Amino acid sequence: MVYLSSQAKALADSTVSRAWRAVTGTGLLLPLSVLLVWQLADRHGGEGIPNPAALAATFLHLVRESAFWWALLASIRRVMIGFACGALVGVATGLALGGLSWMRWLFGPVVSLWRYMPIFSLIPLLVLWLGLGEPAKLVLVALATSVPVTLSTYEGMRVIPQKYQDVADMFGLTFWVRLKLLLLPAALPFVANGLRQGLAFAWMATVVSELFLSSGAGLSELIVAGQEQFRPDLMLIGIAVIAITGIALNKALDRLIHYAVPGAQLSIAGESRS
Amino acid sequence: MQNHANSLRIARVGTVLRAVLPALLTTGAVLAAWQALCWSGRFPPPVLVAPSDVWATLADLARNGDLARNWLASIRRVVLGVAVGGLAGFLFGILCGTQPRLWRQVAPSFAGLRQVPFIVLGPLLIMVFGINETFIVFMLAVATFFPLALAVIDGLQNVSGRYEEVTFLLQLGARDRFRLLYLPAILPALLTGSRIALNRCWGLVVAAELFGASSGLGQMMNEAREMFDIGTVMAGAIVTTATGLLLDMALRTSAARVMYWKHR
Repeated sequence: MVYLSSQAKALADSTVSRAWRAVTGTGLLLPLSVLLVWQLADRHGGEGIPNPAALAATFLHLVRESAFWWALLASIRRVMIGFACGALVGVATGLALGGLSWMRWLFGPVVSLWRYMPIFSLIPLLVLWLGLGEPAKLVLVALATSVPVTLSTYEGMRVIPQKYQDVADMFGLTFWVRLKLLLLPAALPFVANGLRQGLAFAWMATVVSELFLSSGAGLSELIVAGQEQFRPDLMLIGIAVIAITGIALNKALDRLIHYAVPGAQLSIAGESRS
Repeated sequence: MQNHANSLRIARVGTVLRAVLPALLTTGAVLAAWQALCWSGRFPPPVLVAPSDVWATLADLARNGDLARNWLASIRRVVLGVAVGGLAGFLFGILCGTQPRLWRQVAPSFAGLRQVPFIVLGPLLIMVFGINETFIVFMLAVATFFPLALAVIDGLQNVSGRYEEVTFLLQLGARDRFRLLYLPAILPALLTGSRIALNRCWGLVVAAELFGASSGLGQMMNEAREMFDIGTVMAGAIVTTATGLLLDMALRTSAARVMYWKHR
């Protein structure tokens, strides 16, 4: 009897300690305790702020409607198209600037100024030119993507050691051969980091474009609806879904980059280290 | 001697000219093409405004004080937000950078939260605080907090163990260790973090003012957009870009003063 109970106790102990280690080892301790405190605090005299259980219920209700999935799909589609266009333009511009000396001479200094332009200060201009529809949103996302991608690609080509350039000169490589053998491989890690930064910008631009140019489906409609109906629960869920989707997009891009450029030293997502 | 100084000066002017000339050339060409496009009459004024008109609008805004008022309002918000968020991030970074056990628990949540596009907090903050200064400053503070905290933690974790051993050998007190070892060690990362934060906040303040504000460059541009005043919109875009550049230059210059051992 004593033996059994001690065994059961050991079993319970090991289960508890394993659960504890699972929680602390994965960094779930903080979020779980925040949720717990939030839930308990709300029970003891809430003031209209939704508690986690209520939020979960609203969320479950929400995902049963097809409108939610269409909104998610619309946002993802928007960020994908905008990001793809912006990345293409950015890489091409960066390569041209880094590879062609006359391009660098003419546009280098001007392009370096881009980094200081608040991209959202272009929203009023885009609205005037393109209206509130999809084109304005896509252009904003593409622009937001192309700036970091261009700058990072350009940067990557500027740090190529002069020795390599001299060797390429000695062999009399043409632009395209030089691009393939020297410039592209050298710039690839920088392009990768530019793309990661670009995706973070693109997702932010997607959300902002949906908030400001409020027409058509998108995840931000949750936030707009919450604002109009004075329902903080919808806004909180909207923010959480936007955040989680953004993180998932970053993760997917990282996977892709690790697959394509195995040796790339990735900086922390969304930060430029220059 | 005089001659030598003169030739040096000429050489220096030559270097500056060589650096600036292409930028001037390109800008000039773009402006000329833009002006020509406007004069051709294919894009009438509500759609496109000639550079000369944008310049006139800018001069007007500068003369009647609108520009200065809105510029100061935006700058004030950024300074407040960066100060509050920067201080909080710095303290949080010191705490987490020196307590690895704490950081191990906080890091995953931190990594997730810092990827949130903070602009989505706008409507929620408006609901909480109303359309006022607090909501913008709060948003900027949140956006500053993460890069600053990350920079401090990064800097503290990269302090070489050898230096720490030296401080133990010298039996330095906690305050001296902080002043002589940790603070200089985190300064470069702090500069990077501050540049990111300032750049981001300047972009964010314009966006936040588009949401709703009674003053600020973003508000000025949004109001102009509603009245189809494209000259003011373009003038605003130019001023915001120039200010972003100036803020970064100011930060870099003052950082070079503080970190005199890096830029000798």
